[in-house]
Amino acid sequence: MGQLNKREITKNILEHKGTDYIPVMLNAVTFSAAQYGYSMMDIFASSEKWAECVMGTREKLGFDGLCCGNYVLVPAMIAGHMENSGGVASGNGEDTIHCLEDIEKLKPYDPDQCMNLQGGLKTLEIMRREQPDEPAYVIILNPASIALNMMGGKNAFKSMITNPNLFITLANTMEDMVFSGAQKLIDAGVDYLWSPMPNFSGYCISRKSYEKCCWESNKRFNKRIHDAGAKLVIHTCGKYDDRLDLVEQEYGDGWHISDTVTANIAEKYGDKVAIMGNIPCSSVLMEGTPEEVYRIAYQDCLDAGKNGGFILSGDCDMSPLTPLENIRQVVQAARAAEKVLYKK
Amino acid sequence: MITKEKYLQMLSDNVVDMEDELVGGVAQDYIDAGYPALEGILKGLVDGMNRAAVLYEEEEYYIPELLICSDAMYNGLSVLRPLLEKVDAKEKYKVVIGVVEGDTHDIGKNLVRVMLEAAGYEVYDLGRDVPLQNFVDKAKEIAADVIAMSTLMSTTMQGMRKVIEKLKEEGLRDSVKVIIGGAPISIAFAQKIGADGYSANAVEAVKLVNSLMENEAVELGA
Repeated sequence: MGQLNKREITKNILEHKGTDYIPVMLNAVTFSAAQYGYSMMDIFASSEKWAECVMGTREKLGFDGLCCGNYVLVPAMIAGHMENSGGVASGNGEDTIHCLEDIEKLKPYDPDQCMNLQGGLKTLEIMRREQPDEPAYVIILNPASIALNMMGGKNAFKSMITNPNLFITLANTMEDMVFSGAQKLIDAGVDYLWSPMPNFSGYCISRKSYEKCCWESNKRFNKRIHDAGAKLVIHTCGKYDDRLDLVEQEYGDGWHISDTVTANIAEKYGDKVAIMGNIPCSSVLMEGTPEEVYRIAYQDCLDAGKNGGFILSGDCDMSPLTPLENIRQVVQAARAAEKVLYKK
Repeated sequence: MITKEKYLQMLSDNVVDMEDELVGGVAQDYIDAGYPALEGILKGLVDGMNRAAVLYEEEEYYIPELLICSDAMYNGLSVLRPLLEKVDAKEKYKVVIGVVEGDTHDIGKNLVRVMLEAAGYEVYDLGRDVPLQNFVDKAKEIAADVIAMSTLMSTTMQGMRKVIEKLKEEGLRDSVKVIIGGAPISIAFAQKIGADGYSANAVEAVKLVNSLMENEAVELGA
């Protein structure tokens, strides 16, 4: 690692400057909560508990990075009062927007009053104090993803075919609100934003629908993050090989990939974006033997780490049922791969 | 005078072309012309849904398109199904389907239900966030041939294993096939918990159930 701390190394990776260290950053919030016997409700309600379990689990198992928040609850604040398809006040704002007129019923969004955002900022503060060298990131839903939640999955999917203007208008409406919160996180010094951007995945919508309904919104929103000086990791959740040329134009500093071949992505895009991933969380991390986990993690490092632009991770959120030994194997694989790749 | 074959083609086309608002009118015209409801369903609406399934397999259609096709099929069915003559149709295989407890993501499950119904199965949809015992109780109540469970979340997938254990405890495991699916599910997981099959999507799920019901030797993972 030389003289750089892990935050600086992560920054270098996302700026494609290369390093001799492979960070192991696992999306392990639910896993960490389970380790401490907390529910997700518990840690959403308490920054102290969130920080305690995420920092403690990271330290115990030796991986890198801290997730300090999950900035996803904007709809609850602006549409929680609105009825969902079941005819009851939704509370969470999901499944509430079914026509253009519904958009006019949204309440204004004030990031300073958003408990979800403020909780993340407080958690970041605790983590900075306790583990100052660890890169800290926040999960953030982009406007198109939020639009999908607010319309409800089925309605949103149908709208992409029958009434794309509704989906696009809602995503556009969300942009300033979501960005106002993102700006607070950037100002607070978060190391990167992690966005499961097209979170309805290449398994759900066609390239054509993606391009028509999400792409412009993604580009515009991500450019604002980019222009604000923040780093962005795009999580291509699901099968995205047929549209990575579009994602390439969405201002991501890194791609957290899944359901694809790491070597292929690294070969084609590794000189343009940092690569993060790609150990299958369910079939390998949770269900595999320690030997399988080590082998696959090690191979991912060799496939994508040669230029130093790689972060080893699962392919998505890690299950609370993942064996501890398997996580230790991931860390060991990264350390072993560094010796080969960087002659350490 | 429009021929029956022309009407059947129109019904099928309306489904595959996502004409969910037009199909009801075509179905009514078909009936008014004196043609049989059952044939309109099987050779018109269901044929259209099967064509949509082929387009899905070819990655021409995705979930949004399938959802609208299924709406079109059901809109047509709402006209034709009440007019079916009561006949001693051969007994249908019965499928209990649901999203396991703790998970509310049900779009995939709904598509599997639609495709199974289009394929002629009698489907009992328990909905989403289904208490695990309900799968067992419903299967017992209707003498189900298949239990189909899905989940999108790794936190809830262990519920599938528990359902299989409950079936064993109640002596039902040998009389019902269990299939599972959902984003975090894999063939390896299906094998590990003792499920009879896994499929990655709705179209494959129908092929899997067909195979299981034909009592053929089936490898896990359609």
